[in-house]
Amino acid sequence: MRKEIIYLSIKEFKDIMKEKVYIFAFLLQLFIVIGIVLIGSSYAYIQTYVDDPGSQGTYLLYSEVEGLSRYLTQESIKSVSLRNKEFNGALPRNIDGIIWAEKNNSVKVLLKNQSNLDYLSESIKRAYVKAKLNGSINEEILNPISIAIYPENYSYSITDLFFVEIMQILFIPLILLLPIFLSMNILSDSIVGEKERKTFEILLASPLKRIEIILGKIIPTFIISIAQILIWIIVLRVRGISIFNIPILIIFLSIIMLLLFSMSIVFSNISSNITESNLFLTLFMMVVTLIMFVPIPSENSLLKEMLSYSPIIPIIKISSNPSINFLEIGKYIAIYLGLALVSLSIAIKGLSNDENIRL
Amino acid sequence: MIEKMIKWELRRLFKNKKFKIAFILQLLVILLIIPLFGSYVRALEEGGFFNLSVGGKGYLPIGIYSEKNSLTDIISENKRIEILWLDEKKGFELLESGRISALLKIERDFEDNLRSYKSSTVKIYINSENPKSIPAYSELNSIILGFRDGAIESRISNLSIVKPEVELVYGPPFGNNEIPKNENSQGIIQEQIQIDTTNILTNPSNFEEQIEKTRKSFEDERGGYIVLLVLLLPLFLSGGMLIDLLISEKEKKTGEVLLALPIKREKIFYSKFLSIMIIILFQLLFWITALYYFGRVTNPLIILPLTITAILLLSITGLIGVYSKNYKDSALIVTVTFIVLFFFLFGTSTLYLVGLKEVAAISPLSLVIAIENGTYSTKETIFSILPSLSFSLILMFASTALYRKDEFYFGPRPSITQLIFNLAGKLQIKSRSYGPYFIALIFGFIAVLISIILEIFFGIITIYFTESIFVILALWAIIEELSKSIGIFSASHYYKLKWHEGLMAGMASGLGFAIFENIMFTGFALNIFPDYAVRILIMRTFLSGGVHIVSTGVIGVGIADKKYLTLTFIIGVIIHFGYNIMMLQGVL
Repeated sequence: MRKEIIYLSIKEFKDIMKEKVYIFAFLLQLFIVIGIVLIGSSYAYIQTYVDDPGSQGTYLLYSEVEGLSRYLTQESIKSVSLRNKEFNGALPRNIDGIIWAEKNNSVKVLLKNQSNLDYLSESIKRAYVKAKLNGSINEEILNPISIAIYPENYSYSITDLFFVEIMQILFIPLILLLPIFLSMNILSDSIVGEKERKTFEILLASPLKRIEIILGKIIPTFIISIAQILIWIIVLRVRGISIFNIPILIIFLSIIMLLLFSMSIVFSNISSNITESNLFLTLFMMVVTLIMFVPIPSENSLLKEMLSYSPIIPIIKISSNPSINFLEIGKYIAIYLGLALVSLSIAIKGLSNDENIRL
Repeated sequence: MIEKMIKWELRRLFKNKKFKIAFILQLLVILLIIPLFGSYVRALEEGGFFNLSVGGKGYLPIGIYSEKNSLTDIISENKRIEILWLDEKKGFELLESGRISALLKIERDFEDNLRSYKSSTVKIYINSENPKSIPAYSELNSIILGFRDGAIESRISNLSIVKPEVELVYGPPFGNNEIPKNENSQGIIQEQIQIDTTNILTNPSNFEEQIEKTRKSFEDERGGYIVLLVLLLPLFLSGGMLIDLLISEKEKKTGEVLLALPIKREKIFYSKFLSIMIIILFQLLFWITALYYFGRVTNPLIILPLTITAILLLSITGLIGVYSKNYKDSALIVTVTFIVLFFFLFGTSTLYLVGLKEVAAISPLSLVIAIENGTYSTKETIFSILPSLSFSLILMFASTALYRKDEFYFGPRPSITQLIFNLAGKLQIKSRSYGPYFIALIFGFIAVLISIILEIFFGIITIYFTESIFVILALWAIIEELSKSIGIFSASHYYKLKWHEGLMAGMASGLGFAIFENIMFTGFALNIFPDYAVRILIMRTFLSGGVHIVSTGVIGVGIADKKYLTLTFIIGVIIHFGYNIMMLQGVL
């Protein structure tokens, strides 16, 4: 690499560092990252109350069938025994309903939330049959599968379940991409700013090739993004949120950066002032976020096939698994490297067109 | 004249490329959302978000040591699971390294056992050091349990075992039926909602209990929550346009021509503000009508709190537009404000859903949820509209005050410190003996608002890194003392203060702070625990009022005599921090 590129990069880097606005943006991102983690934990906390996969609720139970309570527990229905059939008054807050099970194959249920009925009644029926037939038939018949978990006394909190999922699928990729999105703005501001100030022509008159000028502008933004990504990874560590395979992650994110940065240059080429380029970038980022993060309830197979190449999938795979299959990730790396090089060449071609520079 | 100017501005906006794109974008979103809305709400309610999300595909790599059978067929249908067929040794190796998050071992004669009414064991091995083992185990467990239930069902029907009839009843079927017939389970649900709105007043302390209380109603309210997300879009898009109108005049230097017009400067500002307001109202009406027509909004009255939110948003962006030098400046400040505002609006409405309605009602968006669910009350309405409306009015006043100044057009733009001193200069009164104290007192009021914002911002960051309550209390003491000192500094800018005058000015600032803070606390207390409000007011007036006055008084001495500034500041903070700790001990 020629010395001049390094000089240019250092100059650009200093320019960026001088802007109070960007320092401010960095602090802002810290706040966002922390806010995201807090949102993740409150989501997990609330979700635990709304939707506990390991429990169908607690019910008052009057049973004429022996052992029903035990079998209900197997069906993840907790029960509190009632001595008498009669029950008067309102249901306590932590009780979801009442189950009356009589000998003659009749069960009556009173529910606070009737939408659970279908699922619940299947569970009650199974528990009832098991309790009634207990001892009279081979136990294996009504117990086709038993699950054994190793390590044996393993248990987890449901809050952790929701937290791990939402962080790994949604928020960690978001945090990792955040600095890249911001740097796209810095880069296009720097290029369009040169155009607006008419200093680009001076830069072109210097003995630098156009690709070298681009490199000189990309390198500092690239370093800043990587530094930020690493800082966010450390910030997440503080809270015990691990991100795995950091070297490969950085390589993949660099390729994504190259792709997005070249697009940012393309946008700067076609826009004549900062307002315009900002508009393009905002729209572009909205589309990108929409495609990557918003769930798409569609059964269209072509769309699905396309979405399975979304860069979010390798990012999640790399960052959330302690160990990965390099061949699979290599496929994504190859695809995105190709795309990045194509868009970089478009960007350079656009820049070599003098009309784009002189407005 | 102002009508004419509004017309100009509107015409200009409609010619604007940016506006056109934003409007088309909104139309697209609305067109997309209406058909997808139902499926989104359902997916979110069923926890299906992760199944639908693009990144969820193949999220859980799982090793299976078994032959293919009916259970593995079902597992492989799950899109989130990526199956690796492994032998036992390789399986444990990969589990150890983290390549797979769980290893499933199924008996060789699983399929035969299934057909011959025998039982088999399925073993799940996980590596508890891998965080992903939690979702992997949970997902596998639920699939296998579902499979087991299906197997039991088919065995029961194959063997023609009689299943019981499950009958849904709406009241206790046995004994002397004291509950009247109409008080069925529906009635119980309604009773629960009543508990939510009334009972909290007397018993707000137990957070978990409140979550539990609203657990059921949460599911219904989530629909309203998504409506919010949709409706905020036009608001946030339009906020940027006001800034555009204000800044483009500066960048293109056309503002100077406007200033030369024979019209009051604030009217220029109002014309811009109103034209955007008209557009927002039009957009909101359009959205709400459309959503109402498609049954996504139940009560068109939600336009009222949304308009209040729009005014809040516009007054903030207006101030930014007036203050910023150029687009680059404003773009970042706007992003910051929008994010902070977004956190505030959504944070409070999340609190509202969780059940802390009294605190959360301060955000107008909570009122949107309340109106959507038909649970709003007059008190709640006033409580959610008044603070944001008065805050907007203050901001609008500030914007027009700045807009009148030439410096914001011709530069150099005054710094924030200069603006503060300017404001203090306005507060100068003739009497030399009361002047500094008056300035300090007024700045004491303002310091409350400044410190609340800073306390929330830095409090959140601090809580993330350390959960120590002492660090946060110390941080808050520093922030409060700093914001109270602003008043003394401003006073000392205009009046030469001797040490005893500095002390008095500090005490005045502390007094102003304490008065305003107490008013706010009492307001909250009246809303949350009305029985204790008077007691809290009296206690706070004497205790915290005294501390604020003393601590800032000490700092005032330092500001009057700059030699001792650091020392007195530290002493002031220590007094404040000590009081905070004492209060904490008292509470515990």
